[in-house]
Amino acid sequence: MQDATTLKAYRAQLRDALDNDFQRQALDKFAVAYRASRANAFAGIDAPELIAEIAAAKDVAIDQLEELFAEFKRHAEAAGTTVHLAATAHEANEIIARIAKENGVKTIVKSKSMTAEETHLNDHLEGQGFEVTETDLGEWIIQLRHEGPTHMVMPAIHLSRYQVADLFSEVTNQKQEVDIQKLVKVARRELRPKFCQADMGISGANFAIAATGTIGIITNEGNGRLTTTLPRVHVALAGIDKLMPSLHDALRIIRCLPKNATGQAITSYVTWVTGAVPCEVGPEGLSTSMMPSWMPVCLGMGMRSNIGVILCLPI
Amino acid sequence: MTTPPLVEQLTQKASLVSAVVRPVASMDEAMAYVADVCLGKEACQILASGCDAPLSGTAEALCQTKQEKIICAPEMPAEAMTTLAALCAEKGISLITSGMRSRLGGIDIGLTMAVAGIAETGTVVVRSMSEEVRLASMVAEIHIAVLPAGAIVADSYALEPQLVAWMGQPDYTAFVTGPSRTADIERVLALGVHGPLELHILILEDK
Repeated sequence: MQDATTLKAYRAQLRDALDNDFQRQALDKFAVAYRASRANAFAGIDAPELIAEIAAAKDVAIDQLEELFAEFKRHAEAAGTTVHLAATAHEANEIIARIAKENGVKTIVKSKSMTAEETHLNDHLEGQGFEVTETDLGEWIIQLRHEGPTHMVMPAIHLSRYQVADLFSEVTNQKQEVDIQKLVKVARRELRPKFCQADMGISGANFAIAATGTIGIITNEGNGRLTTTLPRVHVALAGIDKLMPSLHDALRIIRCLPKNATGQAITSYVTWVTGAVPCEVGPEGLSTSMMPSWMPVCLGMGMRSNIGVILCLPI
Repeated sequence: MTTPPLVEQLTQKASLVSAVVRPVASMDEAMAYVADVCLGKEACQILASGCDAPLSGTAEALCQTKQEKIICAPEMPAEAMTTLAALCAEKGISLITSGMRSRLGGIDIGLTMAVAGIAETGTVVVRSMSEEVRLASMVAEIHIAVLPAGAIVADSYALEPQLVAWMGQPDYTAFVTGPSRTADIERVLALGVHGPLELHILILEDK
């Protein structure tokens, strides 16, 4: 939930969350299982050294953000991408709404973007009359329930299969079995028409590579690939901290990020999009919208060490 | 003949993430495999996956659009296509190379060439400037990638110069490792969310 406006309301929501037995147990179990799967994924690899290398590269990049942005923009625009820089969350949302309006967009599919969660992009777009559908399974579930994500990697970890079955029964107007494998297939079929009909796709980006103007997206479900392929307009929204000099920086992070996030050696898909690629419907085009995240702001507050933190990024 | 170490490592790593990996001695053998897989899935999956579940009106209507078994093989080498076309004609399978936009309800098999393999992670690299290649590998229930053994490298760094060269112009390249997956409900693994339910890698032996 992201709607608490007073401390009292926030405390009440906090109390509700702490009193939720299922949620507490799910997070408890996850905390234990996560440690084991992470250790297993990093077996035979010097994880501290790899993480130190990534942090060092990020430290260097953060001092060169202006140059990196200029280089990214130059290469991306040469390949047919339009690059925007937004100073605030609101401006980022406005830019995306404007792109949608200019392209006559009515319906939008979204793959996961943590930046979009931070800017409350969906609320903004829905407020302007656009229909926005989250396509990551966990994100779709919480969107249908009008909730915010509980966890970056597992947004719907607070919900049981029974709750999901009830929700999908409501959505389809058909009684759904309490069977996770079947529920996943229901989402597959229900969301496919949304992909087919969407005018615009919005994705995040795990990497923005200055040397080539390429964005890299890490996903498991395949929704990121459909979001960046089927709609005639694609917008990627990313924090400016995702800028890095070269592909090598991104490949090094990929050696670490999925192991850290889900205990996977690599995710099912890593998608590299450079410029505008041919699209069989309507005007082709890719727009990349970038906004400074909280990180540069923290810099000024002497919190530089935060920048080296490797987050469990969107999967 | 002993299996080269990179082939062995890729096979092992890809199998760990539920990909099916088979060595093939020739493109003809690969095409025979593709036709067999398509034929083999007939009995259990005439309908697109999910269509056996109760669905809303819109999604149900989409299920109705898929009636025949279809292989989409865009941008495969001409000799492979000749072989596959003959096999498909013989077995009553519809073979297409384009028109994926009108098949978004799902196809049985998307057949693509892989431009590289990464042994360390069991990954195939699919370069797809063509939208047909992208959609065939995304919308199919089974994605089959033919990977020349000589195109397998040890790790992603070894592929870096090649990738950077591709990224010098508009490009859409994907690392594909196993089928589409999720653990978003109670952290239980489920294969086949929005992308393929199965990934088969056919490693084409060097001549």
